[in-house]
Amino acid sequence: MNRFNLPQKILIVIGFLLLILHYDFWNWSNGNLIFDFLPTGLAYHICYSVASGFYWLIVSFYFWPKEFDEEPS
Amino acid sequence: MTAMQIVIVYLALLLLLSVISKKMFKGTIADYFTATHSIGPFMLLMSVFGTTMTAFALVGSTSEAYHNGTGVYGLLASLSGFVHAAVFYLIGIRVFKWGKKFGFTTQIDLFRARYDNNFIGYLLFPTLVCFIIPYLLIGLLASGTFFQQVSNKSISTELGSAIIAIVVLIYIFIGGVRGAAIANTFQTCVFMILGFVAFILISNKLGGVESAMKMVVASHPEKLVREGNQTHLIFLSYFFIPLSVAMFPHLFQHWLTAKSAKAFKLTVFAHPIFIMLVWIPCVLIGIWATSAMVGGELVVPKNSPPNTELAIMVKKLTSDSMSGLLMAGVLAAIMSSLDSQFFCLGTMFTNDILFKFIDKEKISDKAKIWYARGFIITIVVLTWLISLVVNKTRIFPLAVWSFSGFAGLSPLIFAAIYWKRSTGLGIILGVVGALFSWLYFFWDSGFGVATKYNVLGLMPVTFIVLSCVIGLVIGNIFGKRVSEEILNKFFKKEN
Repeated sequence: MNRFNLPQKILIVIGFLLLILHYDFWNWSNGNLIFDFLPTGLAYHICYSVASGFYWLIVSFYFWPKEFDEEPS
Repeated sequence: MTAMQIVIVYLALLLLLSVISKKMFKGTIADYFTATHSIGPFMLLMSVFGTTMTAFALVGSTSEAYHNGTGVYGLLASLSGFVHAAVFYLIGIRVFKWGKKFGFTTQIDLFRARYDNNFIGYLLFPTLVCFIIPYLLIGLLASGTFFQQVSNKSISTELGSAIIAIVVLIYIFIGGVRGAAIANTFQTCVFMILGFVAFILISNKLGGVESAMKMVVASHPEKLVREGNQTHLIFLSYFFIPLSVAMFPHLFQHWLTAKSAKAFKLTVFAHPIFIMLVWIPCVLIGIWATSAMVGGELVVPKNSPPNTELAIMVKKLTSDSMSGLLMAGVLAAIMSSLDSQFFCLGTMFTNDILFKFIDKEKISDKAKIWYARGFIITIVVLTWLISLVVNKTRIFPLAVWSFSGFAGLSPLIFAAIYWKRSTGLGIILGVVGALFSWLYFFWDSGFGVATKYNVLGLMPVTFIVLSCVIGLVIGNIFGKRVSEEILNKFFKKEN
């Protein structure tokens, strides 16, 4: 972990947290509807997908490995 | 226009697109197989996404939601969004860099050069072909089913799948991988837009999303929860399935077509959002199909054949012409994967097997292309024949078997990139471990017939990955180290 700076370490921890949060055991038997049409478990995972997209947006633009920032061929 | 006429026009448009893409063909084998690394960010995103969204994502997810509820999205789709992006970031850009530096055309090229071991290729080739056949099967099964529905059963599933296979073969033979990338970009736009339109039309016909869901709450509330539809262990062990993209040969080939590593950025962060946009409408349509009633009758009758739920909902709840457009959208998703899968088979055969026995300098580029086409046709015919026997199998479980095989091999590419001291023997034993464990579990499940098959309560992929890792580690203990010269080629930082 020593070759990563603090923001990178935070991002790695957030990545692992996101993986752990995928297991939403607390929604297992929850059949309630959100906005009268979205099952709670489904709504949670929609938010999870949005969070994933946002996470990888940050990674792509702020933590792209410098050695890959080459000019196009 | 009738639905069938619209589908025919769509297929004709695809063939026209391939003729146009042929004008961009530079005439070299490098351009045919890797588009000479000229694919920019938007086309890379669309072709990678189109390749990964198959019959499985549309037809399979709808059918799986119909049978096992909304939990299918959390089970696989949301996790895939995160893990696929991670694989593109951790593996994809590094594969691209090595591919461009050393001129690789296939994964086998990479593994042979990285470990200085030719035998890896002879073992990995049949393994990859074995795992890709179920993947081809789901495309042929789904396209046959849809053709049958759109033609009001005047075209059989067998003829329908043959027509789609022939159309795909024609446009990839004409345009090469650039033709496939252009077709994929077009088809991805088509299936995303039309999939959303299908969702709006179907929900309107059912009285709106709240009304459609009320029917499910009244008739099948068990479809809205995971209790009774999934176990916790199965949910957790599904984690390994999205790792399959690390070893998809067709995706690997798309990575090599990229113009630059920067071209991957859009693919990395847009992928989770795109998966959501495609899966959510299909999952909702799937559970609505369990309970949707029009005129006092179930829209999807209880004894409907497997994989037909989406086709029936579209056909019965939209107009004939809209049904044709939506069918074209589904066929677009199916074909955008079939083209890449067919193509990579030809590339692997010529590059990894044929050129080891025939001196490639002695045969023309035209002859090389024809050898590739011959092999592709052989595998497609074989898969079509298999589809005649397994046409009652559900797409989702069959696809998961294919993904399990590739996921089982994923430790190998991670080792190649991140474990400098991994050995060729480790790769060989890893392939053997993954292949034989997959073959055993697949046979034990009745060749995919047992849809709830598990091993000690876990998905079999858990043990396939474990077998690969054990093989890797044992091979590392007893295998010969790769020379420093080769390690420096791959890992030394350039000044």
